[in-house]
Amino acid sequence: MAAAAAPLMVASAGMSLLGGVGEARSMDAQAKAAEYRAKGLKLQGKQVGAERARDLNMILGTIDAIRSGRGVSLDSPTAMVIERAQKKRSDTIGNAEQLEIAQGVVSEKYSASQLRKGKKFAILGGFAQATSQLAGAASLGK
Amino acid sequence: MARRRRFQNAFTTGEVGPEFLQRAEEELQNESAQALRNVIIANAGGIRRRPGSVPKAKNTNGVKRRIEMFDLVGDEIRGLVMTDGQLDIYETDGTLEDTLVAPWGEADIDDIVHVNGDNRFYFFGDFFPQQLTYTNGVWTLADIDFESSIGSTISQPYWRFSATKGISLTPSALTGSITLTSSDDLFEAGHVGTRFRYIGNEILITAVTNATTATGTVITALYPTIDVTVASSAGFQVGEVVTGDTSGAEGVISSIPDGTSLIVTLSFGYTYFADTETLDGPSASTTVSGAPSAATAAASVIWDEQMISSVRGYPRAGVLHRNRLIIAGFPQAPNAVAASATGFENDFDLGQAEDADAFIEALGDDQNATIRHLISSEQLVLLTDRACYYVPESENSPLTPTRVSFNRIGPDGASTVRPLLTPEGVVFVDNAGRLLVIGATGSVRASWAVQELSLFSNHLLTGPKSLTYVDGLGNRSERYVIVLNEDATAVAVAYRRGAEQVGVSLWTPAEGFDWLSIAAWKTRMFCIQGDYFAEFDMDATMDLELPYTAAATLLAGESVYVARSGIVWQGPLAVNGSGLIPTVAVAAGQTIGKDFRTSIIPSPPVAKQFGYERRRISRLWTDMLESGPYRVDGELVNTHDEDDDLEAPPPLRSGASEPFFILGYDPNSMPEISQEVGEGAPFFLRSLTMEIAY
Repeated sequence: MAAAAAPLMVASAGMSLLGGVGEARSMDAQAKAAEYRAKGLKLQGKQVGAERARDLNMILGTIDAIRSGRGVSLDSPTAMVIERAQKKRSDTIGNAEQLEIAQGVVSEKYSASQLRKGKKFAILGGFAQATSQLAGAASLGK
Repeated sequence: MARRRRFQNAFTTGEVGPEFLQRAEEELQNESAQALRNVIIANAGGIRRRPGSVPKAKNTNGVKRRIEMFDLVGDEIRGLVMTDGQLDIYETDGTLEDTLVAPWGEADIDDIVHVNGDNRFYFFGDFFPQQLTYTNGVWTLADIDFESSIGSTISQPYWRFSATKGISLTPSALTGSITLTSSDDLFEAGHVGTRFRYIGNEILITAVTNATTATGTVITALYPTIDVTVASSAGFQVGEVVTGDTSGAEGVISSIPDGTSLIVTLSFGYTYFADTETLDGPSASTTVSGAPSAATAAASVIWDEQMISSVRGYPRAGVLHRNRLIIAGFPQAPNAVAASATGFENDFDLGQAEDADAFIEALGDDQNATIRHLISSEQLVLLTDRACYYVPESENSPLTPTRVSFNRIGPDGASTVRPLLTPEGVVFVDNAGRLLVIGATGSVRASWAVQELSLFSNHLLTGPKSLTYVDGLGNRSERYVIVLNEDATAVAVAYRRGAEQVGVSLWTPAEGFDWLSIAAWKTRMFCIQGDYFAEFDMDATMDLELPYTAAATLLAGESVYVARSGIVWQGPLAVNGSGLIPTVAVAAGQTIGKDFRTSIIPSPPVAKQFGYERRRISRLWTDMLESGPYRVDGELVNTHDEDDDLEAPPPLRSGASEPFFILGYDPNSMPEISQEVGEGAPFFLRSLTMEIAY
């Protein structure tokens, strides 16, 4: 009876080995996906930064147009303060956006790194499980 | 010869210029006069002798004198008399309360602008703006003391003057005593004691070496210049603003030494760029590779200097508006307006342009305009030498730094004569010497409009020098704008509510006692007449009139007329050093003063339907109200009756007169109704009727 179960256990060990390899490949794929997402977020950060700069230019242009329409000088001390305050507001919002994106990049990179670590453990885990099963089969065959 | 009569019971158009005397419109033909001298136009339409004046005190300092009334608290007022280097403060009874040393000279006196705040008074002119305060009975006149702020900075207005644009400043260090070097001539000896701001940080100038070098003490540490190592400096330009994407630090590129470094002067912050952060410029980005290090302070064009100084001149206009002190008329920034923070008249810190912060703006559509006047009305009104503007505001859209707007009302440039706020709007004298009023229209889009007040009487404006508004003088209902001319005549503009046209008469002072200045407070009107601080009084027949019931020492040495019951009786007689006239005993009901002549000449009749006609005035009737003696075409009307005591003052009479026969055949002659000097008396002409023979 026990001798009859040994081949099954060998087969199971093989399956465990294969499962570990499969899981490792899956994790590798997920890590790559996370890295792609991180790269995408970096690109998004640049795009958002550029968009924020465009928005700021538009707002400053609008402020100038409004000031012209109101008959006030464009380079008065208060005009400079308003411009600076607007830049500061824009920088604050932009920095918050960039920070959020940067956190996303870090998070994705961390995920990728964790998945890569997990990949190694998946192979090792499958190998260990297979070894354990083969050892069990060997003891049954005695 | 046929005859017709012309009845005139209104003179509401007043004296009209000779050019209008052949016009036949109702207001010109039936409501005007050819001459109205030393009379006022009553709301009822008739003509009254103008108020005389009552001397309160004598002031003989210098030649030029000017009076303004200081509204202290409640009904407590003071007369402020500006003379050469001096400010005298009088109570309205003539008591001299204080004499203060003032920074103005005689040349400044006529142009000084004053602003009446709560227990304080501001003066603007060719001197550092002054603040007069009254605290616990003590008067103080001193330079405006701008608020001190964080780090011993001063919240005063700063400006980059156009003459200095393009000049850069280089500090030798960031703190302590430093040398400032300019790229072109900039410094003058007068800069010592003034403040510059290098990228927003103040430096007190302590010495000027030459036109391009000065020594200063740094008040707040200057922002550093740093050497930034970057991945690549390609694409960046000197003068561009660069920002660190994570640090938020900002600076201006002052030089680009090589392909991997930038020299940046930080602006509005001391934080360096962070290592590895992205440095963004307008046309390029790069990565900071390594911690930036301090570099030698670089030249920068981002600097300004205090707006008010002996070098840059002093503001000539000011007003209190919506709890802000607003000043303008800066000699080297003529189109700029500086407004204090709300509720803090001495604080001109621009802050972050929040609603209550101060603001400094300039007219955008006319760089060369000179702001001459600021008036606080329902909205702020600005008059420049070439146009007038208003700043729109309402309770829902109050005046704030981000809402300032200069809307042009019209192209009417204002003269230097200080304008006047009346219930109908802002009255001012334009560059052509006309009297205009800016009135509210009620329209949202064009809120204000300009109208001319002096169309028919411009000939009387012979050099306006000041405007005064008085409402209810002598408890009467009339309102007047008094225009004081350079030749010491005054134009009394009767200003009736709702009327489209004003009525104008000319006042001349008693001979030898020119009006130097006129000022009003509510229903009271004061003047400087000759050497005297005096008050206009409807009950006074003469100028500088004092009771002669006791010695009138204030008029000692003057030559005067004596009046009984307001009717001039005899003179001129000399008042001796004791205030007495040796030949006239003091007595109840007597006054002494300087008499003046009054004159009314009706407009010539014009028969529009006939055109030219050879005609003359043959008879004239008057209807008087409570009047004493007067003359018609030279004939004296004595109000004594046959059975009156002829030694007593003539009684005042009301009602119609007997006809006066006008002699002569001159078709252009018009009869004159007058009171000669020495015959002054109460006078009110209700109507006149002329018989015209043709």
